[in-house]
Amino acid sequence: MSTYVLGIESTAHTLGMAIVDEKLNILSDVREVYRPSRSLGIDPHDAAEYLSKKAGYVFKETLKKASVTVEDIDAIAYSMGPGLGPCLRIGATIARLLSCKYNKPLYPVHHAIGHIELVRLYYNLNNPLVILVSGGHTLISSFTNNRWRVYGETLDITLGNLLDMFAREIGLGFPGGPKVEELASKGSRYIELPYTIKGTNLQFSGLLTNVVSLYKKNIYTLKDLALSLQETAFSMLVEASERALTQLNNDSIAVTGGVASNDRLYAMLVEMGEEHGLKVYRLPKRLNSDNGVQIAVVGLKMYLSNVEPVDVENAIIKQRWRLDEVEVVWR
Amino acid sequence: MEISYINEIMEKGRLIHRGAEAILYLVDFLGTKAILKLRTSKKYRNKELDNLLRRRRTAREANILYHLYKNNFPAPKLYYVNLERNAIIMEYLEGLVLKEYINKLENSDELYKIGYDIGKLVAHLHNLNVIHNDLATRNFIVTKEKRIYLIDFGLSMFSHEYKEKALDIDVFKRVLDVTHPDECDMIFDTFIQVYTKNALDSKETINFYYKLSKMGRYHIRGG
Ligand SMILES: Nc1ncnc2c1ncn2[C@@H]1O[C@H](COP(=O)(O)OP(=O)(O)O)[C@@H](O)[C@H]1O
Ligand SMILES: [Mg+2]
Repeated sequence: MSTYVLGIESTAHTLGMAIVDEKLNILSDVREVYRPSRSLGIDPHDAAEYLSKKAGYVFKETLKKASVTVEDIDAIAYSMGPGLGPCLRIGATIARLLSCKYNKPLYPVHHAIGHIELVRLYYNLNNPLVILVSGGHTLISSFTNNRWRVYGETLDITLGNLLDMFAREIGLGFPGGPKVEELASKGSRYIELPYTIKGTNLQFSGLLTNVVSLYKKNIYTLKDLALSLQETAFSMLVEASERALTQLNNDSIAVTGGVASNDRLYAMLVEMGEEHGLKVYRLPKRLNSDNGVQIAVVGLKMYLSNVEPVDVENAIIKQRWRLDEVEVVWR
Repeated sequence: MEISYINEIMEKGRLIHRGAEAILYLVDFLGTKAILKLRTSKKYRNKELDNLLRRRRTAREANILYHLYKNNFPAPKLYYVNLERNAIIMEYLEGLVLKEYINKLENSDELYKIGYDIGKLVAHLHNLNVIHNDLATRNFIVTKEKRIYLIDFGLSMFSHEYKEKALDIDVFKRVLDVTHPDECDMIFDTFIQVYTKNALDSKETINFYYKLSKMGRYHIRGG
């Protein structure tokens, strides 16, 4: 008999649902992504409305693609936070509804733990230094004493924010990451930008302000600005990661989250890893972005470890929730 | 001083550490045991950015070491700096890196003394308007006489701002949390008490530190 777990992700612009089995096979992975208009950022209420309209479709597709019926599902996991309130509420509501209606145990999952555990389980890593770079997080983490400790992180905006906001300023639209990457690959000249690192912590907002003001001066090409932005921001992150490594005893490096799909960042990490004899792991690009699989795999682990599920009335959301607050009892 | 002389003492010296941004040798510098710190280039980094960072950090570390020496702060004495070679030659401090020292400790009472000494040390540093920016336990050296010295000023800067001081403390706390989870509280609680007593503006600094550490630091996604 197989075990099936349904994962529901809805912390920001993505409504994702996926079904995994006990061998961590991904039976289905369906998503709908809200795209804000070019000039404006993500509006949480707009996004939530969009996600709620897609919910029925995503759910049906998730079952259909997996060739699984609702009755076959053993447990449901949802992203409890951190994220945007209105979006989180959509996922939590779907999860509660399904749990009551079909009488299935319900597991709340920390979104970042989903990202981290997905890459760890996918490659069966022992003790990786994990670099999580997405729209919502930029952090360097390592597992000790039952927690994913945050060893370094951004002190202001995230790396994903930095790239998206730069892209928006120069009129590239959302999501900016891939577009900035493409532009940067054509650049040739490095322009000096603020480089701010505090031990293993980073600050990107001065960098953003500076690059935007250089853009407005109209003296540099967009390609060179994009190149310089990436080189500066990524070097900061790789340096912080290297500093973290010298203090810890990790046996591999993993990079995950949407920005992990950037090939320049990955190449830099690989070069840094080689100097320490460490391999760098990254998921197939599709799994770097927010998805239901990351929630389902953690739910599966909780279910298989007999973690107490939450009652429907306690299946709340947490807009703010630090990664290192979560005690990982199911590993 | 000629670069060829630096290269010569380096070749005759003993490599003692290959770190995140520098290689360190124990050398004989004009008849004195000394540490040669060379900031080496990073393969992953854009060449221009790499040169710029190495030069700037070498200059900054030299400046700060000199400032600290003049103010009787326990850090290695600066002997010589060469910005072409990104090289610093400084006093050799015989002892153990704090990280190893803690790991080898048998008596946990010592943890209070460590917290106490570092509280005084960081207060002294901040009172000299220097922010270290990498207060990790591998950047302290404990000598045979159990005196604690601070090293590695490549990320340091001059500032009197309490926010920067609070960030320094935040870095220290995180390092303790991750690398010394069992000893963290004993060291840190004493550290905070002693720092508060000895540092200028410590109220603002500590309040801001607590604000920082409580902040969820979840950032609303831009779009
Ligand atoms: N003045 C010194 N005396 C003795 N050992 C030192 C001295 N400076 C550095 N070291 C040793 O070299 C290591 C790395 O030095 P550091 O200046 O921190 O460079 P990095 O930037 O690579 O961390 C230290 O952890 C310490 O073991
Ligand atoms: Mg050091």
